[in-house]
Amino acid sequence: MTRAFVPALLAVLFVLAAVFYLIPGVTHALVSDSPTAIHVKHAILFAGLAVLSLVWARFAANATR
Amino acid sequence: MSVVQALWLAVLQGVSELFPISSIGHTVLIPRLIGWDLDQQSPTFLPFLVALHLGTASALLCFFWRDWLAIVVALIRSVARGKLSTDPDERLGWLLVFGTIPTALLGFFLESRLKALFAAPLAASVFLICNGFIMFAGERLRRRQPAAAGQPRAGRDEGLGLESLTWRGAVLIGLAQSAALLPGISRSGSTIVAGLLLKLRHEPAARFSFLLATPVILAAGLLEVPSFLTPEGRPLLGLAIVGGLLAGVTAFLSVKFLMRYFQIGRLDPFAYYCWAFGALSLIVLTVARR
Repeated sequence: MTRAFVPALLAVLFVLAAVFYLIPGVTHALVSDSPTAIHVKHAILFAGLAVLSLVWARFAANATR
Repeated sequence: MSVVQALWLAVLQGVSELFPISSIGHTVLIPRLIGWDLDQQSPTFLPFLVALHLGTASALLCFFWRDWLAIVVALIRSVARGKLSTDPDERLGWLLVFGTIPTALLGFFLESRLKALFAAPLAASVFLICNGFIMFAGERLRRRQPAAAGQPRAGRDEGLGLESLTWRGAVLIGLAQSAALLPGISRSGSTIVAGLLLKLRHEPAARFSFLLATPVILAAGLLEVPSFLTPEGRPLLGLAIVGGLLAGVTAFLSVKFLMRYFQIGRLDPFAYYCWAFGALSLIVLTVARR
C-alpha cells in the first residue's frame, strides 16, 4: 500500500459527500436549515477538501518514489 | 436601518474585526446599548453584513497583497512540482492552509448553532470579559515561558519569527481562531495569543493572524453573495455597497495601525478595554432588565 492510498481514498469520500449534498429529497446531516434541500455551501466545502486530499495524494505519491 | 446606523455599523465592523476586541461582540452589544432596534438575523440584514465582510477581506488582501501574491505563486509551483521545497513563501502558504482547515470545518458546522445559543447581548458581554482574560493570561504566560534553546529569552518582545512555526502550531492557531465563533471572543486576539504561546514575537503572531483571517472572512462573504440577488436583499444593496467600502477603508487603517503597534505593543491594553466594556455592558444590560 503506498502512502498515497489514504489521501486518495479521502478525496473519493469527499467527492461523494459533495455530490450527496447536491441531491435534493434525501436527509442531509450537519445542516442548520431544511435537511432535504440542496446544500451548495456544504458541497463546496467537501469539494475543497477533496482538492486538498488530491494535492496531499500527489505529494505522498512523489515521496514514495 | 437608517443611513447613519449603517455607516456606524460599517465603521464598527472595520475596526473591531481586526482589533482584538471581537467584532461580533461589538455588533451585538453596541446597537443594544444605544437602543437601536435592529434585527441582525433578518434576511434583509444579511447582504449588508456580507458586504461588510467582503470590505474587510478586501482591505486585508490590499494590505498584504505582496505576501498573498508570493504565497499563491509559491503554492501553485509547489502543487505543480508535487514536492515541498524550502521556499519560505511556500512554507507559509501551507501553514495557512493547515491553519484554515479547522476554522473552516468548525465554523461551517457550528457557527449558526453557536450564534443561536450565545448571540444574546448578556452572553456577548460575559464572553468579552473572558476575551480580556484570554489576552491578559496569554501575555503573562508568554513572558514566563523559558526561551527555546539558542533563542533569545521570550519575555520582553523577544521570541521567534514565522520561520519557526510548525504544521502543528499552525493547526493550533487555526483551532484558536475557532474560539471566535463565540460572540465576544476575538478572532485576532485568540490567534495572536496562540502564536505568543508558541513563542512567536507579537509582530509575526499578528501577521499570521491577519493572513489566516483573510481566506475565512473572504470565503464567508463570497458564499453569501447570492443573498444580494434575493428580493429581501435588494432594498439594502446600495447601503450595503457604501457600508462595504467604508468597512474596507477602516479595516485597512486598522491593520496598518496594528502591524505598527505590534512591533513594540502588547495585548494588555486590549484586555483592559474588553474588561471595562464587557463589565459596563453587563451592568447596563442587567439594570435595564429589572
